[in-house]
Amino acid sequence: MPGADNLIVEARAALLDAVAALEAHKDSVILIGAQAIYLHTGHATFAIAEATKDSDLAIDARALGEDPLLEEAMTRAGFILNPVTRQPGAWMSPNGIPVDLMVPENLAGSGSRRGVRIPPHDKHSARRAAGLEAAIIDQSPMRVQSLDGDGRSEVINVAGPAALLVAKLHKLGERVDTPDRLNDKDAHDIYRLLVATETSELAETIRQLLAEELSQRATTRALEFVQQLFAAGPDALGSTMAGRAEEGVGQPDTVSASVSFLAQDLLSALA
Amino acid sequence: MSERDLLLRASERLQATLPAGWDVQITASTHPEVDANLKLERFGSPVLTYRVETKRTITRADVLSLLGKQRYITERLARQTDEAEPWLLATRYLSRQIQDLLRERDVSYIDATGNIFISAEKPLVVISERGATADPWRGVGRPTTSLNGLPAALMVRALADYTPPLTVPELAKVAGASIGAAYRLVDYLKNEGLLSRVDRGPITEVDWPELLRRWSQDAPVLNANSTRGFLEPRGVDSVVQKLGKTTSPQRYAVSGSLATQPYAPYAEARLGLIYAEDPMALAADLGLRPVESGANVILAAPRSPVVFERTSTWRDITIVAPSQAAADLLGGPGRNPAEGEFLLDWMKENPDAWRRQFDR
Repeated sequence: MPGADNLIVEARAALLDAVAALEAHKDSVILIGAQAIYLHTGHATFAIAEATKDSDLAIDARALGEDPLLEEAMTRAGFILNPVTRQPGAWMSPNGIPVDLMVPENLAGSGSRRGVRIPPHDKHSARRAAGLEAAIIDQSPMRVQSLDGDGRSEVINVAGPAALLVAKLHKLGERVDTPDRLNDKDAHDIYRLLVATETSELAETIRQLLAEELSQRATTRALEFVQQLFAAGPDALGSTMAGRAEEGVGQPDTVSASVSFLAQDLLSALA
Repeated sequence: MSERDLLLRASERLQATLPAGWDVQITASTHPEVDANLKLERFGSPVLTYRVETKRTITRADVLSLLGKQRYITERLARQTDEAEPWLLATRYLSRQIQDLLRERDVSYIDATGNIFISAEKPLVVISERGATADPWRGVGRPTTSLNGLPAALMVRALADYTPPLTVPELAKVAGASIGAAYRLVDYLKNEGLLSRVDRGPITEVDWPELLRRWSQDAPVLNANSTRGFLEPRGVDSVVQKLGKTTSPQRYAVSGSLATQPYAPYAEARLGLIYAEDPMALAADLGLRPVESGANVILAAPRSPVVFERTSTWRDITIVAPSQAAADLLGGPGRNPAEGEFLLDWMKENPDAWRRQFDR
């Protein structure tokens, strides 16, 4: 894919800009999504290249300070809310690179719309999302470096593989009924996580997530998705999607079978 | 089938590939060394003329000697008439290997099953058509000239792995084959143009890349061994790591893409091939899952112990000799054949790294 490398470089730059803009709230900001997944799975090799233009940041609203307001901090750094989608929390860098601010459903306050209720921050400053609760618990600081060789880096809280798995499973599982919103790459990202993380290590963290009140429900639901979408077999929806992501460049059958076995292994380790 | 019959049949096949308005004409030649002339005409005007060499059957060695003979005739005709028409080979049936050889030498050919290659520069004409892949007229019960079987495996590997000169009894000895089988195979390979031997003397030269290609086609790895597909869900490299740590006492040797990694890595290995005396036990030791589709490891119980000959160690695992890996890849699935050719190129450039001298 021409330009794919460049996209990753620009996405990383936009991430560092956003984190710098939110410096005052640094302890409450956690990197999730594909960029976090690649930080954990970079040592394993896969047939399809790492590719994402998005940076996804989860906000721990519990400890979030009042100053500066999220919308002020982002705007001051040159970000604007995406004028096309008009979605809450869908920020765009001056170069047009998306940076999403998201608050776990459990911490997003009342209201059923997509915006958040975390005053005094604006309700459009971030978007509520299900399944991110695990990222509040399973995370640790990592030094994240710029990819364009300018030597820039930031220490960022990065969600762990278990939390990233829970979040991706929610993203997939909640879109099963709206197939046009399903993306094969999300299932392939789950395959990446399962390949690159030892099953025992993953199971250990998931047990901790099940023991925490904040993440218990999201994690339980995620394990139902694991069963239904992956462990059920290589023909299950998630397994098929993960394989399909490698169509033409990799080995779809091998990926579908592998992700299903790894999902079964994870559930056995938790049983 | 007489030579005349096969020429007519082959020219009918050629006619069938041509567009409307084009005709194939066969005429007798006045030249004693030319079997016939073949003319391509378009709306009655001549486009191309070939002098035809007709052969009922043909071996590699025949092709090589024909190339010399035709070069000589061309030179002589050119001296007599200023211009010599190109030559064309017509036979009953041409194997893939011989077709490849002819194309490589830019020789046009037609056979009675419809394998066709006509190539000319003036005017520019290229006709290429595939016919049968096996000789439909080959008599029943005739020996199938093939490198299938245990003695062939032992000797092909030895002929590749040992630098000549090598006498036939020496070959039998290093290969672990009988002297009788060695003489038969050497005669056969000499006829096929795959090795040279001094009369009653030693083997002086072996076309080992072609020999390995032939062996891989006559005894493709997945047919010649009993195999089963397995999956290591964390990928092929994880198999290497586990194999390096295994304390299993059983004999194994890794072949295929993985065995090229120390010398000529073509790409990330996606399919591992492992020979093991007891594949199921090894699969259990390594935690591999048997699968019907999507395998990334193939375990093979070798029919011939030759796969365990002249192995080496890489990343704490035992890998087969390059000659074995090359043949397995050339006859393997997917992109394996391309990896095999890549390995052959490395082997041609680095013979000292893998060929050995016979210790007299």
